[in-house]
Amino acid sequence: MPNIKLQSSDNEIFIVDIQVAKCSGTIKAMLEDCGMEDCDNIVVPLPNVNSVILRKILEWAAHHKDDKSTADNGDNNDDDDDDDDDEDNEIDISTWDADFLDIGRVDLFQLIRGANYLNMESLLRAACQTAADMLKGKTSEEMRDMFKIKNDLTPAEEADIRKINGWLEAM
Amino acid sequence: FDRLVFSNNFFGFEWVKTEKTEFDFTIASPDLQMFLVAINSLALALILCLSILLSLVLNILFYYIEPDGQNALTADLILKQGLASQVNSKAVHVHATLNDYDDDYDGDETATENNIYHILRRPKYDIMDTLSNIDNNGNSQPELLYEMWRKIFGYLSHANLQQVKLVCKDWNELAHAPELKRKSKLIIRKSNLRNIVDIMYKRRKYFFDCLTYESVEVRIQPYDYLLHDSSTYESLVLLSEAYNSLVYEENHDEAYDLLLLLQVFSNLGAHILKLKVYNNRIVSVIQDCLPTLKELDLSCAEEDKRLQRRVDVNKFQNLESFFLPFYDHSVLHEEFLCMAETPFKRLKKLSIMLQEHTLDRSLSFLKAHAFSLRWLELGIGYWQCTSHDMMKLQEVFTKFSKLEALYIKAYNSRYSDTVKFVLTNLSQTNRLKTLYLSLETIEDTLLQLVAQKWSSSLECLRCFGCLEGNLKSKLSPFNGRLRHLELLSYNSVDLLDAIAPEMDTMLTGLRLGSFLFTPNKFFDLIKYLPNLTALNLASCVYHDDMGYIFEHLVNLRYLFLPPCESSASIRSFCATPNITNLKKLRALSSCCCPIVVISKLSANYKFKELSKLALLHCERLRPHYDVALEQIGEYFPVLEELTSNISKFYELNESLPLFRKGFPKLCEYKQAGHRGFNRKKQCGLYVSTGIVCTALFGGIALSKKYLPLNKNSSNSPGSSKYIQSIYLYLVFRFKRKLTFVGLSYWHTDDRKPEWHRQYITSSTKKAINLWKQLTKSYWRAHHIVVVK
Repeated sequence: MPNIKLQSSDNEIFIVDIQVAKCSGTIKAMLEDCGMEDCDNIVVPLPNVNSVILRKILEWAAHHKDDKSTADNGDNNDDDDDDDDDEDNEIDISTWDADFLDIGRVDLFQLIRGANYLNMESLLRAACQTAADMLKGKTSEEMRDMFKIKNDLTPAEEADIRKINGWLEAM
Repeated sequence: FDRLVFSNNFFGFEWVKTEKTEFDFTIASPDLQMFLVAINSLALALILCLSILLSLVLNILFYYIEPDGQNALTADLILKQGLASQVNSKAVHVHATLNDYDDDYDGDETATENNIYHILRRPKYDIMDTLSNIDNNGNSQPELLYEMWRKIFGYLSHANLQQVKLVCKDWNELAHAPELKRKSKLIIRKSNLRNIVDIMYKRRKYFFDCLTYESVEVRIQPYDYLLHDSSTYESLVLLSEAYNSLVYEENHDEAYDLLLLLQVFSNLGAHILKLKVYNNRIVSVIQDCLPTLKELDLSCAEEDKRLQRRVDVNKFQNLESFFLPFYDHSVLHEEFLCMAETPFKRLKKLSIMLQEHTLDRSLSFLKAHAFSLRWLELGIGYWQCTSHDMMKLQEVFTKFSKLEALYIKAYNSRYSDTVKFVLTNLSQTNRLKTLYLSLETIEDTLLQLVAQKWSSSLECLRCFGCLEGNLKSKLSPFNGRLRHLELLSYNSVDLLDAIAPEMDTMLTGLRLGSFLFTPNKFFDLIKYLPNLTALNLASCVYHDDMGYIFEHLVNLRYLFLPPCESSASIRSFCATPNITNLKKLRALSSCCCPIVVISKLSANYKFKELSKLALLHCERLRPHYDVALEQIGEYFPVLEELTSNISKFYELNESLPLFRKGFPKLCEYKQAGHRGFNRKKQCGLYVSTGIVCTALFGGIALSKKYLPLNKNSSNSPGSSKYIQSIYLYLVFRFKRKLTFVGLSYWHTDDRKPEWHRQYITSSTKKAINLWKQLTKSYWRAHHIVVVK
């Protein structure tokens, strides 16, 4: 099985099975476009991902390399089916995935960035959902505390948003 | 002078100020010449003002007279209807305000107006800068691209997004992304219409993000304008009298609001895909503003005879779903259908009534769309079917070929022949997946026919009506094929055998209405249905059954149980082993018993996926009311919605911090009868509407409508006046749309339990009789269930 070398932003080199590396849409496209699929020992620099996160991502890729590449039709544009299940775009996260993603917020966000950069749809989705679960059921103040966001809304603006929120109902 | 300054405030604050100083000056210096100069300048100012006011008024007048487009046309139309000076002057006032904002929204904003539009004013970036997240210690937080945030927000529900909007300006903007807005629906009411107009014009460029929603509902009805508070008995009586006499008189407020509504829709209309309206006059006013409409829901629309212009449904050429008024004797069918000349090319969903006076129209409409329809809801109203009609029916229903879901609601047992005739003529090429039958009696032959034609394709069968005879033979063709089965109101004893005579792994959803069964048979049934994910039982559950369900149906996600009726000690329930087996439960509606048992067993258990909970009152648990709310919260770490009709919770709700502590993720809390509910007056009434019955998977207990009514000493809940007032309320609110009414009394006075118990048994009987009388004459609802 041919291998590929990935270089993280802090210059650590990872030697990876090419099948695993192809979980990343970015690397896959690069290899296919450049016709380098059979070449051994290419070094791919990944300046946007540090070694900690890259290790984590590769762990995911190794675990999921045999998954069927499900047709990623995106979450947002499949309105063909019944309107009732609007809220059910949630995916089931397996136990392994949940344990894998049970990491601090800082790491989770870096993971999301890394997954986005490497174009790994399944990881991105699972990580985003995990991040969303952190927000669920929180009040706006709690969200602000959690992400250390400064409230730049004036009281009048806030009152207006609350007013409009009161006119909305869930579909 | 003061008046002048006052009426001139649209020149801005600055101007007023300078004038004031000038005036002060004249007083300070007695010099005559100076005084004259001052007077002169004042006179000039006066003339200037007057001329501007005049031009403003002229502008407004031209706005009306000029027949440019729809605004003027409909405004004209409304004006014609004889709402003379009052409305007119109000309109002028509004336009003056509007022009005001038009003029200076680009200019300096005064301090009072730094509102939402500042947030939305900033330019949009494709990929925005990252959030600045440097906390006090200088540790930088990882930054996320806005794209990523949007993706994360995509997994949040409507309620959570509401909170996201309040976090900061950036998040507010992100939460207004179009794909996130699909989760919400804008409701326009009488009470918020003026606010909407206000926001629209004050923040002209920016209101779009706050107010454009694909789905809009206009909840304005003529009787909104008759009374302010329709929830008390006195006003209901007044309403009933007023309704008959006053309704056709023009109401100034109402006409003015129609004008505002037109303004709103001429701005927002181009973005609206789904619209629900309760009144045909409103449709006729806004019909020109809706070029992209895909779904028009008129199922609750009522007739308003003051209409000047007909509703022209041809304007909605992109329509895919069309829900016509769905109650008997609706005259609106005629109005909506007579204009439909060219068929809608993409119509897939249709809801229509067949009734005597509009039969031909309805049938020809059906015929024209028979080829494209996939989903059909058919109401069979009052109508004596002749052999000629039969011919016509046959001609129409043989044309259908793509139908996948069919809902038939007949309002009287006499129509069962018609229903049968429709089903007979429906070709087998329609691969029906869902069939809903609502009839007084569902005959043997009808089910046989269904079994013969569609037993291979049917996945969901819902029978709402008495099933007579041998159920086993009727249901046997479906055994092992259906995914979802609902059976309501029947008397059959062999029911449980009939549902699953042997192992059935297909069936995942089961709903059963009132029935009698022996526990052993029930246990057998549960054994044969291992894959059940949704279970809804309407009739009494004893603790044995409940324990059994909790132990064995391990795949359940949605469980709805009535309050248990056993008065036996809870100890026997505690004996159930493995009560904590329902690990996948997402929604639960039951009395507190199971939770109390779990707490008694001190099982360290959490419902990790349960987000919706409804707790019902049950007699047995009266001594256990001291189950603290936080304690209950412990078992539901991810609870988002809680509904309850237990009075103790209501009190706790008032101490909100404690409440929040108990349920960290709770977004919504509904107390049965929450609005206007008065604890001092001890009785509330909770009425569930027909809508609830159809929402088995949508979180049933959470979409119920609660009608609180205060009890006066003279109007005790069992008295005829009281029931009558509820009845009136329901008639006005829902017209004849209701087919199912559930009544339940509860009371909040824990000090006098004995008194209440007696009281309820006697008044419930009265209530049932009264309901029967009332409904016989007016209302064709044939399912009335009174729950203690």
